[in-house]
Amino acid sequence: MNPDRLFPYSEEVYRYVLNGYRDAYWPVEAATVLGVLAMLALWRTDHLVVRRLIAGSLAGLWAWLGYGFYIQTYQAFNWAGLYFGYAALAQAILIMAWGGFAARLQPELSGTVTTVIAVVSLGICGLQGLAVRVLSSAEPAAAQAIGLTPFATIIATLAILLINRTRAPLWMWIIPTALSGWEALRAWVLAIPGDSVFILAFAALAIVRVANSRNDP
Amino acid sequence: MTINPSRRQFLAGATATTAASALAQSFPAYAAVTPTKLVRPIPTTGEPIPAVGMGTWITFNIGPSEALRRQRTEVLRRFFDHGGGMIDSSPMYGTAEEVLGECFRRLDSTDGLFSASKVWTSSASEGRTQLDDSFRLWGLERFSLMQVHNLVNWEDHLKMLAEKKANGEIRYVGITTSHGSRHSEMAKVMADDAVDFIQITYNIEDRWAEDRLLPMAADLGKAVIINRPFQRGALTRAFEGKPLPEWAGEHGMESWAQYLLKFVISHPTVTCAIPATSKVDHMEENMTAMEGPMPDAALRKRMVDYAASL
Repeated sequence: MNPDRLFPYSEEVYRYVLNGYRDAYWPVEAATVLGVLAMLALWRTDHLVVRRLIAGSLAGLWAWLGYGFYIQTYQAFNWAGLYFGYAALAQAILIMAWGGFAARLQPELSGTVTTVIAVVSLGICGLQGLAVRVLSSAEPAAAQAIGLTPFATIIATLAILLINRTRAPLWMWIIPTALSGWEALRAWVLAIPGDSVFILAFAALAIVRVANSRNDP
Repeated sequence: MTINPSRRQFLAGATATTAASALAQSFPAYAAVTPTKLVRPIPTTGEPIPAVGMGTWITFNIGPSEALRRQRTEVLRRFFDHGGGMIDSSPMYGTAEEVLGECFRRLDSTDGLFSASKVWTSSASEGRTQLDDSFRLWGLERFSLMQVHNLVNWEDHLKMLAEKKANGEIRYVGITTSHGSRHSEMAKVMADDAVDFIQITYNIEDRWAEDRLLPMAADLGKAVIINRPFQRGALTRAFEGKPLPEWAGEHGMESWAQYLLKFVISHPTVTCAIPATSKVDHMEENMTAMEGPMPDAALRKRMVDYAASL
């Protein structure tokens, strides 16, 4: 099947969708930025409540991605958006179950290559939107934002899972990886240059994840 | 606003076209300002429709953006200014049907509109709901043509559409494929008496339809809509920057878009081609492909050979 058939909208329309969506839900974006800053501040605090708070926040971002973006916004352009929305909501439940109730989400920084790649990926997710808006000649620009748009949220999640103190179970990776593949295909088919950093980050995270699993005893 | 172009209104437009054609032949100076447009009769009724229409796949799936809606309204205005008729959409095309309805309300006139949409679901009951949605979204009380999209559950949908046709809610019934597939099933279904139109892919590169479906349509007396005359833009991109043959200008082909469209609509069995565009200048090019002389069989062969040589 020609991959073009999977995306019944143009690059121009995608830019307008992201722009309109961010304009409509700017309070969500502001709250997300505050949430991410709070997560960074609490990162090193090894306390059960903090772990659950981080997991709850991440689950909330996925729930919003599923409902606010895929179901409420994207579905109008692509009928498959409904199913992506269900997948994102399912991921929110998984994060809540594993990271919130079982308190297993516990990202930690170290001096390893894994940490470096994860932190760079998180930085990309946080700054891509700003960079695209500053550098893009197209108005409006296809700017992503953690917690609001898919690619930034998904890559940030993969990065967080990668630096978890204990190895995140396989089922935590399935939905974000599948959605990353979809987003990468979308970025390629629509030829959106600003999304190429996410494709690179996704590739780097995938390589490190596979390499780490091969090094397991 | 409810738009319900009657057949009488449309025939009045077609008569005007024919009259303009006669005038142009009698008074060459008149031809310079009122070019003759190619119209083709629908075999089952003889009703003429302009040979170039408009598709909406991707190009009208634009969502709520006001800037994009204003721009697409201008594309449609140019379409109607040039005597455009058929506009084809589908529930599969995201927001396209709703956008069309909104753009129609913004236009002063949609005279000549030949409305064509589709039913696209495996469920018979959902098919009826989709049809109701299409009436509401387009703002119409009657559809010119309703098709079964990609032959999905055609058994149930054709029965339902025949019923609606008998009630006068739709005027014609059709079936579609869009990517050269399921030709055998298409050949089987198109023999059904309920089917007035078939919609298939045909262009200078993809000419599979010439072997079986186009001759069958001619034999069975079915109208033929051609989607992807530019192979979804791949052909215009492939030929961009390459020279048109010297003889193209003599036959009214000033651009590759006109070359490719004239090739499609000059096939004697083709009723209407529906290129999609989101640009006003491309719409202009597409619509003017209906003007001037049409290639005959020998020239069509020459056009294929030239395109293949590039």
